[in-house]
Amino acid sequence: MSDFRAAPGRSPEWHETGGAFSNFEFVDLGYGSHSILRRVFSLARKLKYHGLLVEQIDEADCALLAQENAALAVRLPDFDRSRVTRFSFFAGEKRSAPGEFLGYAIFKQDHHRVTGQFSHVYEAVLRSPRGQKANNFVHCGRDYTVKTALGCFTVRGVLFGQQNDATYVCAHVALRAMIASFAPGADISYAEINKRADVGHASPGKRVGGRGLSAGAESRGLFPDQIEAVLRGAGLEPELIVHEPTKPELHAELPVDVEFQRLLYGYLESGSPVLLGFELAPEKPGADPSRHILPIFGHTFNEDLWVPEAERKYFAHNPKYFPSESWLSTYLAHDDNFGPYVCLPRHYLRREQFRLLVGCRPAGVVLPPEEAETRAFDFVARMVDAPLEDAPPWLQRLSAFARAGLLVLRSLAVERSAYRKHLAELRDKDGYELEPALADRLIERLPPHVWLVEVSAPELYPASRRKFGEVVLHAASAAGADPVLVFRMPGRVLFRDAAGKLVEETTRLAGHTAILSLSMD
Amino acid sequence: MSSAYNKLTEELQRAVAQRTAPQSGSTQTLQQRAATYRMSDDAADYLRRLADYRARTRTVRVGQY
Repeated sequence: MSDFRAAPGRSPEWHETGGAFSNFEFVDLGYGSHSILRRVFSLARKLKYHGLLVEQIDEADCALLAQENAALAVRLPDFDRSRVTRFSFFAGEKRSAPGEFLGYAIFKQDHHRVTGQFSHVYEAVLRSPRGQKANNFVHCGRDYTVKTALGCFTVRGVLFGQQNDATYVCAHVALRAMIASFAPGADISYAEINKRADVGHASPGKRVGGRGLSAGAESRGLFPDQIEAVLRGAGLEPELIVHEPTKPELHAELPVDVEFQRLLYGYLESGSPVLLGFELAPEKPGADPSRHILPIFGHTFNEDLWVPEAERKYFAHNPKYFPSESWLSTYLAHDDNFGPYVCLPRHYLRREQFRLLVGCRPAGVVLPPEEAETRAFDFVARMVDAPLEDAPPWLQRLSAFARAGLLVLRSLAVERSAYRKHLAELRDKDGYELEPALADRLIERLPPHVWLVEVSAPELYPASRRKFGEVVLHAASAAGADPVLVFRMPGRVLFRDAAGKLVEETTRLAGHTAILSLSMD
Repeated sequence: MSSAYNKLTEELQRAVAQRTAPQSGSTQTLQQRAATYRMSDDAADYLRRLADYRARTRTVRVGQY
């Protein structure tokens, strides 16, 4: 089906957007002062756009648009027609030399005979406005190619969409962002989401959204089991973490010492976006609170954060080690009420507001992230709980940090091939590598998917993104089996032999090494 | 400074001292430690509580989004 990226654009217009060009004036005069569109344009400005291509998309050229309009006409019988504009943002000022492609947005203006006009940003993909140098880490970006009047251009980013509150709502746009993040070409239409969720626009009991409802009728969203069905239909393995403290009869409260943020991070750091659902303040006293859901696809990192140490010293949290998540300061998210690439402070949404977390474990991963980390820590703590003879200085330091309860652990699910590549790239400050023959022996008995739990220190991980070593665990080990497969540390390696026994070898790689990076830039 | 950092300082200094005056050890090798490793009660208890929570909530689906 031809979508908005592939559809030919009609009536192309080029605007030079440096100098006196005003985003505000442009959006005010042509696009109804739409706030989300203004946010999109402000991100383009942040990306230093100097050229703007404006094209119209006609229903005759875009089967997806025809499908969307047909659904709208069923749900809202006064729907008349829509005008769709595609904006493409470029770094160059001249149409003849547009330069780097920074992103695109599809703006849909629906005209209704009775209720007037409803406009929304149907979709937009922009390059992330900040990269790793600005401590922003996006693990879930994908390439999107747009066929414009000037040719085909590709941008890497995370798909944003805004609900129309009639045929799709916040859960739809969050699901679409999540599913599209898993693979190029995995983008899914709202019609397909509705089919999998058994939403029917003509049926009062099955429709979604709040527009066009009679007074007193309930605005409907997607239920968690519908969200689950959509993800399973996309071939994913969703896991739903629920927290319902106001319904004690359900016994569905997270254990008090488990933070939803840490569970969230386990998925995120492995390259999977997460859907985060929370409860809103009631619109009026006594009313049932509504809920909202967002896709989270990255995080920022603050190496000088006060929180990790303060949590330990002042508030007695996490007394045994620091999860690397402790230095996370904000999540990167899309909120269809506010726009793409918003930052949500890690400590802003509290346990009392949290209701639902939807993560997708990578294929082949069964062991939950928190179990991988707990098992890795327990193993490391035992291995170095007493001095080791002839240990190199960095192994002695690992041992000292472990005994003081000050290790930093970072857990991520990776494929064996990624770990192999990582091992080949490791160098300590003296330039030593892991001996290739030893690396081969470490790898040869690993399953296709593993948990990598990196082991570091508070002055090492945040400052230079380096580590002492890592524990590798089976991502789908049999019940009751010990999942620890490898423990690589400075100067030593433990790994399983053919009989499954952990054997020890020495290595000349005796210093600290870089952590594994999954970020998109 | 927290007690954890006091402990760390002590451990790091002990390690430095050991470099110049190694103690003959009866310490176990890593391989020996690995052979006798069993998960601690604390870790097992934490994982058990998480597993119980997951089992309890497997079919709890509340609210709409």
